[in-house]
Amino acid sequence: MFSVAATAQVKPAAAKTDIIHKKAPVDTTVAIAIPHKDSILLLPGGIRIGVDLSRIVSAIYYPYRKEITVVADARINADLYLAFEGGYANTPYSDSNYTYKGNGAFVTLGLDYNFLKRQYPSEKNMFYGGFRYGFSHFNYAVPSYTIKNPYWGDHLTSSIPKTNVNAHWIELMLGLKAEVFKNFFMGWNVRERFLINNVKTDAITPLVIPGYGNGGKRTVLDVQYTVSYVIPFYHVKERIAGTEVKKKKIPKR
Amino acid sequence: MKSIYQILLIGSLLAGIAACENETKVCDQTLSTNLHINFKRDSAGIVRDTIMPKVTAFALGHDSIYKVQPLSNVFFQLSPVADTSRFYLKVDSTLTPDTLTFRYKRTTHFISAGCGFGTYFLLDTVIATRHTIDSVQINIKSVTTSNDTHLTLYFFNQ
Repeated sequence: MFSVAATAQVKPAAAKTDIIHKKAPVDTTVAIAIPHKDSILLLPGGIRIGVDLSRIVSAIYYPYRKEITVVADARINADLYLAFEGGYANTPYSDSNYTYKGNGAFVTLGLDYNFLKRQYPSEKNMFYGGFRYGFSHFNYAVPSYTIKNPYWGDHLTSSIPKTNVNAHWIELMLGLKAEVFKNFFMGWNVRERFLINNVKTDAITPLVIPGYGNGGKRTVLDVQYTVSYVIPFYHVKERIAGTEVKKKKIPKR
Repeated sequence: MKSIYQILLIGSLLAGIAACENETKVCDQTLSTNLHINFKRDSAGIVRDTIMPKVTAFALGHDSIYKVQPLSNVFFQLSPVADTSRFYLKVDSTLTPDTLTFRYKRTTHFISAGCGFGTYFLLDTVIATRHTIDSVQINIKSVTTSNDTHLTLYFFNQ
């Protein structure tokens, strides 16, 4: 109405003809470009080094499995960690049927992916899945064994000489790590190991493959319980995408 | 954060449970692999499994394995320290006994961490006297389990 009246004052001729010019509705929407820039967030990185405490529990239940495992990882981006484990195992066993001696070292190398959505940029807690490739070089020997036969009354006694063996395996795992004090972590993980090569012979199956577990099984389920400390000496960058151009309504004056 | 501590605790319990199986304490397999022998006899033109009425058997110079009992199968333990084992076999009290001689190769076999070692045998030759035994058939040469029937003895009709 206001618009029509104003037109009538400026152009009186138009009023005479009784023609009303309807103007198209005015679009009050104006495109405003908000700067389209990515942000870069610096997240704490570092090398985390720890030990597997479950080997202590394991040594109680399996007195012949004396093993130490060192675990380490390094953050390579916001959610991905390069993981390493290494250790040494000694397997002394003796009963009335045989004595067994074994020892060797192992390493595993792989990646962990953190599924946990960070509640704040510096959060270091992790719920992760990962995989490892494992390799062990070890040796074993049976200094003496006896095969008893009560019926014949004969005892066969013999030995198996020291043998060197390499074992390869793959691990899939799921676990978590919680920062219980600043830079100090506790965590556990469950893992399934799949042996790639055969280490058994007819004469003997290694009791323990260092880092793998029972030498007689093609797959092994294991649990790790770790305490670790992160040495924070670098940062990793996380790119956060910038805001896009938005349409904003601004009333016309 | 509280829930993370609870999960850590559950994890420690899992570690304990996973460590409870000690395979060196359990021997759930038989240590001896016995030679399994089956008896057969011709009955009205058909060869079929037969029960011999009074079976007595033992390794020469050792105790009886079976003493006058009705059997259709016998299980012999071969010697783990010699490459030949000889057995006395009498299938009826009125019949003449036979002697069976087994020649074989031995290999040591690791059974399990809990059981230790055992012996596998590979049958080479079987020699039998022919008083009651008509013929001997070797079904399986490799004696690694007692579940297989390694040998069949065919008896004369008396």
